[in-house]
Amino acid sequence: MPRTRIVVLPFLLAALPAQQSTELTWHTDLGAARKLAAEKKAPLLVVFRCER
Amino acid sequence: MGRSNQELSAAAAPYVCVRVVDLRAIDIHNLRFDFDLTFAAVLMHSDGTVYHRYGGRGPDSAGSHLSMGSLVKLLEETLADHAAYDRAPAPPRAAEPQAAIDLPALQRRNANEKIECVHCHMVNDAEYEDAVLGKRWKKDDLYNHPDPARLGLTLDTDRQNVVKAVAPGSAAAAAGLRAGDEIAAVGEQACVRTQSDVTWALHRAPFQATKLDLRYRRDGSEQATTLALPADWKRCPPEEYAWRPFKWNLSPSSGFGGSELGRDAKKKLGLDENAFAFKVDYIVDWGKEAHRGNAAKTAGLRHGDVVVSFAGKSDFRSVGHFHAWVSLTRTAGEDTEFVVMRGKERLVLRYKLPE
Repeated sequence: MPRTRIVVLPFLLAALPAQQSTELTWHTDLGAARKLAAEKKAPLLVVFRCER
Repeated sequence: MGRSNQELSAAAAPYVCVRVVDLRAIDIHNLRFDFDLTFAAVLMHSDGTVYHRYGGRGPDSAGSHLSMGSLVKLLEETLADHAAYDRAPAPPRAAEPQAAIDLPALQRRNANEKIECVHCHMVNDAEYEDAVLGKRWKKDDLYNHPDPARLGLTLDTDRQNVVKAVAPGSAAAAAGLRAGDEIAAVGEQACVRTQSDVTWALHRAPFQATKLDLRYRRDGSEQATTLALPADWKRCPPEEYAWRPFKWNLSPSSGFGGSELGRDAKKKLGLDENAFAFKVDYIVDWGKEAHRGNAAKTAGLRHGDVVVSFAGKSDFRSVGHFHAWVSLTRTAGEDTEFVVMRGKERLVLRYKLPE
């Protein structure tokens, strides 16, 4: 079934996961990131971005 | 509230940042949000406690509830929530883990065609399929993650827990809420900072008539009220449901679809430029729903026909609205007439609306 391609606020999507920042490291494995967050006592920011 | 990418980077710096584009390994029993969305963020503790959800959208625009300012503000404010939680942690009672890819429906699909990527909406689709097979599906379940508009609330885009407007006669109005109030807590959501926090609390509330506690700040003091929600309060009109990919799961369905005609194309057909019209790009004559497309073809529908009305209705706001309206308001098997243009010829086609 064809699905409607949805255009999402471009700047926000571009800004977060594609951030070319030297300060932010983006993890892809949530389990590993949770262990790291526990060690660092840091909160997690988990971004779910559908690529469709 | 204009904020820069640098501000966003700075606000996110204290966090362990995770980008998930494939849900296959995500434990969807313990980490849930509105899976119909194309963008969502969850701020959480490493023990699984979710502080806040961020995302959401309005019926007409995928970005209507998003702003850089609101996300920066949320990231900054949640640090205080994290510090407070760390002083008195209360890990949630974890549900039985369920990796998305292990959902039976996705396992069946994966056996037939290797799934390259589990998209968010596929979780909804798979849970729906398994619920139908297990006879657990209730039609009301389709109204998940209700928009605060169901309460009569419009929230500010940048300061997402601040009430921008209250609809007269709504549950929010009856509870005494007014523009400028800052929602502090509602239902199961003990700390509200985002529109999605409110939506989550509404999602967790029952579909039946119910009462929902709400705390809000006004003029520097915190006050409490109760939202009295009537039966079927989560139900929304088809035009507000139109954006949800979940609508493709629903029955009945026309069995065909396509793309909206532009003004010039409509003029060439002698149609009003504001009239609803879409060109039939596909007829579903394949797969398990082939009976739908075959019914439309038997009625005489052809690729390239232009649909101008369906079941007497011709004021659809979009093709998505058309599909949502058919599924949410019509009944399978009912005699249905639809009008198409084939060139300059106007044809009236009839069929029993496919299940």
